[in-house]
Amino acid sequence: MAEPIEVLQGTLDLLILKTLALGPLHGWGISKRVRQMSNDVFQVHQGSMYPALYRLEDKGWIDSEWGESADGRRTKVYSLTASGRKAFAAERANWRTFAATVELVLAAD
Amino acid sequence: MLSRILKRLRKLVAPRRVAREIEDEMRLHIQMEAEDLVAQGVAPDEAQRRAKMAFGGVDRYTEEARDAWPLRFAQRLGADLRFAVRSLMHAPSFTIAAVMALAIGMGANATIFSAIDSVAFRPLAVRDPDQLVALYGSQGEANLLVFSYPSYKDIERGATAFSGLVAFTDGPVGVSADIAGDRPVAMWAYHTSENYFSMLGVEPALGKFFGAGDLYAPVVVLSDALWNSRFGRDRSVIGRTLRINGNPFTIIGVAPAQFTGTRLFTYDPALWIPVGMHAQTIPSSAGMLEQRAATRFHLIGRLRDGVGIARAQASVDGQAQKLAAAFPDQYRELRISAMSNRTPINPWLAPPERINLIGKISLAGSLLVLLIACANVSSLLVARTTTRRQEMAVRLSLGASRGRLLQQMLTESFVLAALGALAAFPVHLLALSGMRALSPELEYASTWRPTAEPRLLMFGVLLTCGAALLFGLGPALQAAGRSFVSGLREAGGRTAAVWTRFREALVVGQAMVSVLVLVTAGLFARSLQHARTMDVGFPLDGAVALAMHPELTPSYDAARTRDFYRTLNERIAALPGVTSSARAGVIPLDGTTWARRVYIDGGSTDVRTAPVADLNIIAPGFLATLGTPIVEGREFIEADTAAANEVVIVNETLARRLWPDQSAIGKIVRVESPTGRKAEIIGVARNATYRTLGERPRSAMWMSLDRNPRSRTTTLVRTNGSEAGLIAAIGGAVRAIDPALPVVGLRTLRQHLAVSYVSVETGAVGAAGFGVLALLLAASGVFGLTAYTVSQRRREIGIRVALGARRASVMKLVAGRALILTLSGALSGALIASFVPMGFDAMLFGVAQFDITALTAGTALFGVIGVIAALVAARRAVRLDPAHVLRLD
Repeated sequence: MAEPIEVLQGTLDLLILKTLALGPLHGWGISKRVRQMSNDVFQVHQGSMYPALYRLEDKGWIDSEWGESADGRRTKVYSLTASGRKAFAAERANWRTFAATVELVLAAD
Repeated sequence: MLSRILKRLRKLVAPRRVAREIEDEMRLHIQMEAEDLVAQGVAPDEAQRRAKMAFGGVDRYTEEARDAWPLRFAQRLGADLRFAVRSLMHAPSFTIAAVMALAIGMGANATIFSAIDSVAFRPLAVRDPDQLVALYGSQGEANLLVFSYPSYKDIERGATAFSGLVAFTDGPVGVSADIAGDRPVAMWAYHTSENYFSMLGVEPALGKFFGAGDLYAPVVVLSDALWNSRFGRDRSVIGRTLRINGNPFTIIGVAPAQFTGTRLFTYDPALWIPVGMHAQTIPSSAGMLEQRAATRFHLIGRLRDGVGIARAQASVDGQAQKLAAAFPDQYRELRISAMSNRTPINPWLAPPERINLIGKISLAGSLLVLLIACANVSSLLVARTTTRRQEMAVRLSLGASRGRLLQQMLTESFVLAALGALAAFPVHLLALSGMRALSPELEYASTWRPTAEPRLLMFGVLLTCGAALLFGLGPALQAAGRSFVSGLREAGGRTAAVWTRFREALVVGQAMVSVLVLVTAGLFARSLQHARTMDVGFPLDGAVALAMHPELTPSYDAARTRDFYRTLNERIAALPGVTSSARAGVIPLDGTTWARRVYIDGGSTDVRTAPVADLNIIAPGFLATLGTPIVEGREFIEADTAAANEVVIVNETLARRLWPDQSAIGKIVRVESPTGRKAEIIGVARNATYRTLGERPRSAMWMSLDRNPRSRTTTLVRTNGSEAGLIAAIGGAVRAIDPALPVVGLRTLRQHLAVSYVSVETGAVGAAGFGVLALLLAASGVFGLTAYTVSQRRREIGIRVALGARRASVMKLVAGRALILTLSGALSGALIASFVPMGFDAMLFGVAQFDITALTAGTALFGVIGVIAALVAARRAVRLDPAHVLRLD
């Protein structure tokens, strides 16, 4: 297990969009899946995800609906909207350019 | 898209439910996390703890999540408003001081704006009022001359700078319904040239106006006020008949409510009539449109597009020269001046530019008052912010953003401003009703109405918002500043010193102004006291004035009017308690004046040196009834009426001016022009006051009423009994002669002359109002400064109290400086105030150059209020709990 590192500002949105691109999920599920996919490298309060969720919802990138979970509990399930899907593609491209550029700079001697 | 809007709306209308949902969601999250940990083999208690740790602060993320919506702003505003109201209620002395200061600032502004606006700024409700100019003539000593109709026509023909020129004359007419026996009511009417409405560019509210070709049409236009009061806004009035002095006129239109004539401080016209109809509506006006000597028309011109007032002046200069060349007897040395008629004007009072300037100065003064009020409130707010820093620190550490705090503080300022505006309203209404109460009761509706109106409302709202920003932004920025605690420390150092000096200077200035205004108020009060008892040349008590105008009633011609007045005089003389009575055209000081030029028969014919004398037409015995003694010769007697030569009485001033070294009795004068009517001087009367209280001695002359009959006269009745009883008896006597004849005015002589006392009373009440205003404002300033001092030095005070300082010494510490500043300001104010009587020379009667009573009273009153304000604020320092204060830092 690697040392935990701080999540870069703004990348949390991208991680949420990626998670939801795989299918609708409730809040804790998103949080769990991000941790699993990142091998628990990111150190972040799980609660900090919620303001991001609400912000994304207000932008219209994700949608939410109250429903029942498998064990009969009332949960709020988030899913990606069409515009969210487009935004995710654009954000992902941005991120890759950004990461590649940073890598390029770091690789230079 | 729609669901997004719906969601946003839900967040707005049901914020609590949304907040609860967020909390539910987060709680569930923690629970799921804990269950997940338990499944991995962690003990339940430990799992709960770790889940909570991993989640972070629920409260913080709830707050942030709620803030993630733009619409949260409106919601937060609601919460901020509630919070602001609560926290203001917790600090009543602060709130009262601040609201009081703001109410005074805004109330004074609104009142002064409404009073000034209707006089100086509100343009006439016509097309392009900027193009309107009024024309008045001047000649030698006489100025503001009006014109005759033939001269109007001459000027109109030659004045190329104008696209149109109108003439109008105003006066009373008798109006009755088209029913036999309906009792006429006297109303104020404008008789105008036919192009009046078309040139001004007014649109009728109903029907149409008269225009080209209607000069001799028996038609009439009603004012909105008359349409409302007499016809209840009935739209079918058009085409109906109204009798004016008994003659039928057809109502063709109603003027809009905003258009109430073109003159300032005179009566509002109830009717507009084409001047060609004057023979039917103005008694004894035969030949008014043909005689060049019938000078009774005001002229207003509209400048051609692109023509300035300078070119208009050049154009009318040419017309004046032409008139002077064509009619040298009447118009030698005539000059015509053009002045802007953008607003209603009354050049007899003051030229329009000066009224405008006075208006601007008053407005600037009242804005200054508001600025001072804002500065005082800002002192109070800073003082309060400082004492609230614990609250601020707690809120910051709980995760509130600085922007949030700023918003909260500004909300509080806006709430204060709104409360101030609310409180300003009664202040404003009180001031308005005070001003209205001061306006004397007049015979016709007056044109001066300081009333609230939409523009005023806008002005108030703008002021409120401006004031809120002005006094709230500084303290709010300081409170929500980047590093709050260190910011305060810094504020305790150099910046604060600058601010403290500013506040101190402000308090000194306010104390000075306050004392100055208070002393001035005292002077005006003393002046009013003097004016009420001052000798005007005749006794004011024990007399009643009866104004009548019989010829406004159709059945009265000159002969019947004469008979009526003769009978009336006999009946009045027979009433119990009447010692004497006589009629005159005007009563001195009642606001009406006629003036005529006087030439010595066979002497100089130069218009520039001919004296202008106030003329009055009087019946035998009038001067005796008035109480003005004849110092040489005699008064008119009945025999003068039939005598071959016209006779005249002059006052001492005129007699001395014409014949400095010899008696005037028996000399012959010519009236109005060197070839005018001849009259022999038979008496010289003692000087009296004729136009305004405290005026310099004026020339005056009297001619015989019987030789110059006149319908509109005032009968003066002296009594040794009660005035009220006499008024009732005179009313009865008039009704007994002709119950259908309207009484224009019937009141005591004092009431009749009220118009002359208005300026003194207005001065006294106005100065007193400003005095109270300045006093309260300065009190709030002293309070604010002391509270500010307490807040800045609370640590020091805490230490002193902890070390055992006594209450008195703490009070001295915090209130001492404020008191020294206040008193030094007050003393310098008193020093300046001792020069005030010189500045207000023309408005102060019988007040010594140095009035010690007003001076000491004003200063002492301010001193007492200042000390109370400082002590009340300082009490807070004494009540500080040292342990509490010291813990804070």
